[in-house]
Order: sequence, then C-alpha cells, then structure tokens
Amino acid sequence: MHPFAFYLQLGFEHISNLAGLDHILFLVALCAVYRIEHWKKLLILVTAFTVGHSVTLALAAFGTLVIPSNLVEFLIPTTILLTAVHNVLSRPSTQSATGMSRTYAMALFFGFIHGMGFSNYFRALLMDDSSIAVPLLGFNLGLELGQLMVVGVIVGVAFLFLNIVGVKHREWNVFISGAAAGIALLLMFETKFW
Amino acid sequence: MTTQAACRCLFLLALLGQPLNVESHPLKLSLSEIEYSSDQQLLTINLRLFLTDVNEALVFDPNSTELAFCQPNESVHAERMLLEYLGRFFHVKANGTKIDLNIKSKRLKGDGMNTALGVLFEHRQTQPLTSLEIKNAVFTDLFFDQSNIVYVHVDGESKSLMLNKKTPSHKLTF
Repeated sequence: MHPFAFYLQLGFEHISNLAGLDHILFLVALCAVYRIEHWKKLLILVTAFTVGHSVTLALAAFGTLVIPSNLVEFLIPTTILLTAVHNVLSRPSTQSATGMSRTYAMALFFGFIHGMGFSNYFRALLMDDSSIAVPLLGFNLGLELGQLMVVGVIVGVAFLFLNIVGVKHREWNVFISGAAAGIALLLMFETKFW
Repeated sequence: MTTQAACRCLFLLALLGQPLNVESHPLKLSLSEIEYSSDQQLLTINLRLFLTDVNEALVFDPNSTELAFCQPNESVHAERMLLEYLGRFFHVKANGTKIDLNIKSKRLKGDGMNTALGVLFEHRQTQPLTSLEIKNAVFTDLFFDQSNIVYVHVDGESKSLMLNKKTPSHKLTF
C-alpha cells in the first residue's frame, strides 16, 4: 500500500472509531446551532474548518510556523468551549451576513489550530521534515472524509430530535453546547500548560 | 431554559464527564524505516517511538522522567529496558536470521507530548538479502488501535507496511 493510503485510512479511522474525541466534539458544537435547513451554512462552516487544516498543512510542510505542542493541546479544547459559548450567545438562523462571515472566519481559524496539533505530531514522528507533506495531506483528507460522515450523523440526529420528536431548537442547542463545553473544560484542565 | 439552568446543566455534565479519560489526539502510531544497501553491505533500522508510549510501556507512566532518554541524567537501565521490550515486540529477520539489535544512536525530536524517541540500529549484512521478515507489534500490548508504519528501502526500491495487533509481521522476498 502507498504511504498516502496509510495516512488517509488513519485519518478516517481516527474520526470514525471515536478516538478523535476533540475533533468530533468540535463538530458537534459547530453543528448544534444549525438545523438541516441550514445545510448551506453548515457546508461552508465545515469547508472553512477544512481550509484551516489545509493552511496548517502547508505551513507545517514548509516549516513556516511551529507552535509549541503544549499550547496547541490547550487551545484545541478552548476552541470547543468558545464555539459552544458562541452557540448559546448567537442566533445564526437570523444572523446577518456580517455575523455569518465572522462565524466562518472563526471556523477557519479554529481549523488552523486543530490542524497544528497533527502537524506537531507528525513532525516529531517523521524521520526528516521533507517527508511531512504526504502523511499530512493523506491524514487530513482522511480526517475530512471522516468529518463529513460525522456531520451527516450529527445533522441526522438533530433532524430526529428537532423535526420528529419536536424538541425546541434553543433547548437542543443549549443542551448540546453545554455538554460540549463541559467536556472541553475537562480537556482544558488536563492539558493546561502552566 | 434559563441561563442558571444551563449553567447547572453544564456543571453536572462536567462532573459526569470526570471519570472519562478524555485526551486530545490519542492517535497511536510508530514509524520505522529499514534500509539495506548491497554496496555498503549495511542494514539500518531507524525506529521512531513516542516518548510517552515508551515510558508507559517500560515504567507504566507516560509522563515519567525516570528513564530520561537522551538526557544527561539518562538512567543506566534505560537502554536495557528498551531493548528488552523491543525483544518481545519487534524483530527483523534477514534471510531468516534474527538481527541482533544494538543501538548505534538515539535522539529526541519534537516537544511536549509530541516528543518522539528515535533509535538507530545498524547491522552488517554481508550475504545478499533474499528475504526480510519484519515484526513490529510495539505498544499493541497497551493500545488496541496502535498502528506501526514500516518503510523498507532495499537498494533504492521502497515498500511500505502497516503492522498492528491483528497483523504484527510481514515477510518480503527479493
């Protein structure tokens, strides 16, 4: 098997076997505020997150920016907490174009942080820095495929509760965001670097 | 739901989540590169293992500083313990004969929890290489999802293997 395929498989499995808890949690928080009718906004958000990952990939491959692992590991759950808080404070269904642009920018920036964690991981593992591009590209693409699957499941579960069971969207949002925020806080305590 | 109720919900969830061993990026990987050059009659094995995994395997504490690999205060037992562990979970057989693992050099790369220990082994292989059997089951005793990637380069020709608990070894013939 080609190394690219290894890493693609690893990335997908990292999400699909629930090992990538932080990634899944971020997606859960990101999707909590949207209904299936907002699929366009959701698609742009996930794409922005993906682009953030890709930017990190490029920066890491060329060694332009390296952030200490301890800081990145703390920042990742922080992005989940901030997304959850943002969910509770904002109303995206009625959000203005400017407001949505800010949310897309947030997803882009948070994608950058999440990707940095993997960049540091692979940078340490690989024999030399020049061989980092293929593993990172394969792993990130695998992650994105896994993310699409996870988003599909989340939106499906939300559809079930919101459209069939009849749960109010505000309550759903607060419940999911609260759960994500609680776990993110635990992760922050675990990874605090000071 | 009021803000107060939401806060209570969040606090309860945080408490409920306490027994969960939540950690970010629990991706379990090791990498090894095996290279043979018939011109130089040399077979090199380069292992890259995450230090937290090494510590967990050897002293049952991922954050232990007891062995202090590659540090001025490295434990006199560190290499022996590492080789004993590798002896159980890693081997390379050249033409059916298991290669003695003698450490030529070690180095650390990365920082924080993303620190990897690189270990280089060298073996003089005077006979032409006809087969290479690689077993790499390192850390599969600790993590069910451990994957060990192996790159093999023989006289410029490269192959890649993914070894894990289910498939710990593979034999290549030339």
